[in-house]
Amino acid sequence: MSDIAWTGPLAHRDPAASDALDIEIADRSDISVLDLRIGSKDTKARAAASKVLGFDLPTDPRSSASASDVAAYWFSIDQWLIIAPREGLVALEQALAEALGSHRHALTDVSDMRAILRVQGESCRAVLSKCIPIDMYADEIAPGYVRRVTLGEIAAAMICVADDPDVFDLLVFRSYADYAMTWLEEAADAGRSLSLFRPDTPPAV
Amino acid sequence: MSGLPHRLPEAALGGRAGRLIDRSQTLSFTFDGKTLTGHPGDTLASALLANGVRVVGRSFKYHRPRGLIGIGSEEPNGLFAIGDGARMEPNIRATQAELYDGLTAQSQNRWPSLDFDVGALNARFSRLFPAGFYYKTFMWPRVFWKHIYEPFIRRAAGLGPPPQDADPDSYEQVHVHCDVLVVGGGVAGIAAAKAAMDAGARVIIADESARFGGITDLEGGTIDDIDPVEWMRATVAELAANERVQVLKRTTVSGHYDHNYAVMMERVADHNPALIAAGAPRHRLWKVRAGEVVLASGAIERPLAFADNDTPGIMLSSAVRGYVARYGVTPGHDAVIITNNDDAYRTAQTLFEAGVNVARIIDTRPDAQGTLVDRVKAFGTRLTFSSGIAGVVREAGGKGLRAIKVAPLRRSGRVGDVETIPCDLVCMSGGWNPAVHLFCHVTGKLDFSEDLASFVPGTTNERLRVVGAANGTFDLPSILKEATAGGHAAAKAAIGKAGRAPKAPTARADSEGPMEPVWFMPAEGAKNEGNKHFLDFQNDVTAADVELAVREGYRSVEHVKRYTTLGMATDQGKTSNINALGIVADALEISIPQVGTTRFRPPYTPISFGAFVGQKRGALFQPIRRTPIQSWHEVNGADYEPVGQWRRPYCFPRASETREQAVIREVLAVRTKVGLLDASTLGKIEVSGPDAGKFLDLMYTNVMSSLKVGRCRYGLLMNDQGFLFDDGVVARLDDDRFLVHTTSGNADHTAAWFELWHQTEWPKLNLFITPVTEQWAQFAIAGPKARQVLQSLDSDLDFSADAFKFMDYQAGHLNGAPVRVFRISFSGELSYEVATPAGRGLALWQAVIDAGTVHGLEPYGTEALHVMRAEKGFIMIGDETDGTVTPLDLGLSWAVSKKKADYVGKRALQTPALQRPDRRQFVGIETDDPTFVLPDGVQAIDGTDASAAEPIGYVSSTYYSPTLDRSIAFALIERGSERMGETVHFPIDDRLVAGKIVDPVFYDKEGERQNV
Repeated sequence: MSDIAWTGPLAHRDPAASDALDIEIADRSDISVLDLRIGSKDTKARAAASKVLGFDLPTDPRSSASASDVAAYWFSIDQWLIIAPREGLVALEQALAEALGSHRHALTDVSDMRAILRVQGESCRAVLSKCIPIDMYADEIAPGYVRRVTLGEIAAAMICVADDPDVFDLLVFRSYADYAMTWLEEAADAGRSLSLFRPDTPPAV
Repeated sequence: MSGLPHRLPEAALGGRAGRLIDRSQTLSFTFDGKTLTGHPGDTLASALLANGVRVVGRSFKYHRPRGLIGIGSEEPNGLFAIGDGARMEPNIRATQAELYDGLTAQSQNRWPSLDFDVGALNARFSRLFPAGFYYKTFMWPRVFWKHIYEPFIRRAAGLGPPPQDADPDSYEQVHVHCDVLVVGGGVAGIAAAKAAMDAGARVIIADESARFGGITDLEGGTIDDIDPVEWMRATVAELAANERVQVLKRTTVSGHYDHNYAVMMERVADHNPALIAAGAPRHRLWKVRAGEVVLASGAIERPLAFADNDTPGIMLSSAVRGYVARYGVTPGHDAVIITNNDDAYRTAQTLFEAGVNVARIIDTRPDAQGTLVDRVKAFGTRLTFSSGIAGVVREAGGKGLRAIKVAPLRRSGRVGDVETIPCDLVCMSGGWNPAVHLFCHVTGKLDFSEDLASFVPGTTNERLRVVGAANGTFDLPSILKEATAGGHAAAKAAIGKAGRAPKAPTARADSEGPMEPVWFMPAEGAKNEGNKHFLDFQNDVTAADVELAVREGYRSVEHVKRYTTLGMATDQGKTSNINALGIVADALEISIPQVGTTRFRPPYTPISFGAFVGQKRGALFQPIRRTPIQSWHEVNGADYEPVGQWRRPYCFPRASETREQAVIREVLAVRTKVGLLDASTLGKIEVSGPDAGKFLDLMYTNVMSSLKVGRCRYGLLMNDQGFLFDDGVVARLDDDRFLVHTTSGNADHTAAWFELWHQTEWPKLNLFITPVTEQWAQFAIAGPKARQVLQSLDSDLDFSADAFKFMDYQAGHLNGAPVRVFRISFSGELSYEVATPAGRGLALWQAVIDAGTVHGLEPYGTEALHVMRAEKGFIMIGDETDGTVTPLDLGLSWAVSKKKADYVGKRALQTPALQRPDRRQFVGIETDDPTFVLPDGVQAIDGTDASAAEPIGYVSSTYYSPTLDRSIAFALIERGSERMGETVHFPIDDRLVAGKIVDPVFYDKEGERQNV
């Protein structure tokens, strides 16, 4: 019997022509995600998880922490998303489950629950300003920043991966991936370029 | 020279006439089908004036010919339909429409033509159209309104026509935040933005015009010893070059809302169709969250109320000055100036320097002094003081101006000593109104300035300050001081630190003497009867209308406004508001501040519907959710129905099949062979932790904690009023891990409901709630051959009847994909629901299809699912429930625990109201005619007299059952469970359909089929 292939949430779409958009958009939904819940005051459980991860679980709102290819994103006072490559996930999940065994916690593999879209390019923040109501030019939006946002009309999470040049990851629920991609591609359409907080030609006087 | 009658030679005005136009290029455009020409830099208004076009539209009520009076967004008359076909947009102000080659403009509100208008008869009978005319006349007889009055009024009134086709253009919205938002790009706004920028703030400055500078170019003086235009040009360049400053032209701040949220509309491409062709959005709506707002919206000149002041050729004084200086256009060749202030003398100077004859300056004040006046006197212009315009000599049909009649202004009595002055242009100035609109949108209270005879900003609770003319500050040095200080203070308030306050640029300007308000100029004839002193040009409201409203007893200015429609047109009374207040105050013999003013509301100028909609059209009209199997449904001809934001296959019709035929085939396939349903939309929530069972006992009506690992149980969720809102199967995955299934539509709500109760009532319970709906693709494999299909796949699970019992749950693999399998049934057949991680869903679905083909497997949709659940007597949330139905009403008492101490809804369910025996109860209905399918929702009655009967219930679900080959229905009927076997009637149109109350389980009452 043949193996059951994995299909990405955007497999049905043709990618936009590379020169049609002001930014690059890549689908990296094939990475894996664990949903980790630990009581907000349970420092022991947090320490146990941190030991497995090799770094402290971040406790500041909207922050993240990472080591090599595993990263943990603060999602609420008792919730983190652990994002890691698919290979090695089973081992990581088992190690976390063992370490947290007697502590109050929930660990759920949600690798297929979301689409993860990576957007990059100089116009990132201008394009995302057409998608997300937060201040994309705030100083706090620096590498490692994570925030739950509204994208168009749907729930999403935004991670600042790098700046100069800007790289962002957008997490949306899988069923909304097509909607999110349509919205992003329209916002990033090269014919609709928006110069935002950049030196610009002055208007006539 | 371009050869147009009203285009001045370039040499006029010391070589500065028409500084904004490029005379080396000619553009052509059409006006009511006639081809005219203009230059780049022209507006439609300046080009029309250059071509000698005087009449640009007909007025709203009297259809009087109207000409342009303004030069910016205050223009009430010059409204055009611009563009063709689907791109035609009505009610565009010609003063703001930038000319481009090929522009097409149509005048509005005239029929059959601008030149000859049938509606102008209204004017002849205008005594019959007083204030409140519609309210008075069309009240009786009532039946006439719909078929006679309204159609007539609609054809004769209104402004431009709407386009008939879908808008082909695109729009977008953008969210932007800043420390300081500066509204208005005049000299005050520029100075404020510079001060805020220099203090380190992130700044947005927006102006509604394509050009920055406001009207400072028309006011003379110097800034830092250079021409103010040069100073502004250099400063705007500095702003635009700074990456912390966003400079936006053609962008109107249309609304200011709580907490400094502002909405701006940018006209991105209206001025250049080539941009649209290149993919640009036509309009962009900016949603701005600003720390501080600096309002520098300038001021609007007031017209004067004299008889026939709407005659084409009578314009605002500053507008005439602007047309001459900016576009090299003079609207007339023999001008008269009528004013109550010094600013109009600048217009006289400009006209004189441009070589246009100024026949007379009429000043309503007893005297005027100062440099502006002296300069004009030096040209030899004649001045007449203490006088007003008592009448206008109009061309035939009122289409132009021949002369005006000047008479001394007296407080009362008849007008005498009339002198007639021939002219073709009147420049009027009644003083200036600060544009306080945005100040008032949120909490702003106005003060009355006696000096300006106008309202000025008073107090506000918003983090907003007003500078320059908008604040009643008109003298250039003072404007710059106020704006610089304001911009700096705003930056400091927004970012906490801003350094030392900067010094304002040094400015020089001609001083002006005081103005003197004049609200009304008496006309010739007794009591001014028959004369029209227009206040609101766009809505055709005269001084007499306002006086009549007061005479009829209206005292509140808000009532006068609504009764007369004053200020209710698209310009919101920009030019009329204060003049009307003057009339009301005089009539009531109180002061203007006692009268107060009407409320200003967004938008400052109209916003396109497209901008409101933004990206949310077409594919983005609303979010559409896709299951992991959606692409298979698409290539296999699914016919969809919306389920929340999902599009679920309703059925899969084959080539020539109707929907009904497809559903019948799918039902029979499941009943006789095997079917496959995409159930991925089903809500899934994991509840885990030592107290998970205890918590679910509190949420569900039945006991969940007693469930054994690897078993499933159907459960009901009530709200705290005892009403059923969701149902589903709960599976125990592990000792401390449950999986809750919800209906598709309630997935999010149920997760939030659980969180609410956990966080607020039982926070000590040790558990976590994790919604996992999207993690899993899930499908039902249902039918007598379901087991064989699964057994033909490669699996580590034993699907045999003994190893995998009804209501069992097991985890394992199918063809290598991890799966969770639940042996549950919503069809009554042998059925397995298989869940696999979403990414594996499509391939596993295909593998099941491939394996099932030899067994006759067919995919089925939601309608077959619904028919089969109805055949089995299973309720459907949303059909049998509507928020007022309890589990007991539905005969589900077996699932409602009597032992549990507490659970949500328990106490409510015990109230007498919910225990009443005459509540409507869930029953099956078999119509006497088995081929007749009852309409959904039809009412049921006792007896056979439909006219007398009270409904005793209604049909909640109704289908043709292919399995039973007859119609079946569910209904909620009073005392239904006691009435088995009784006949009830359903009134449908003019007849009664009889049906028998039966047990709602129509098929396989013992449940043998699912237990094999």
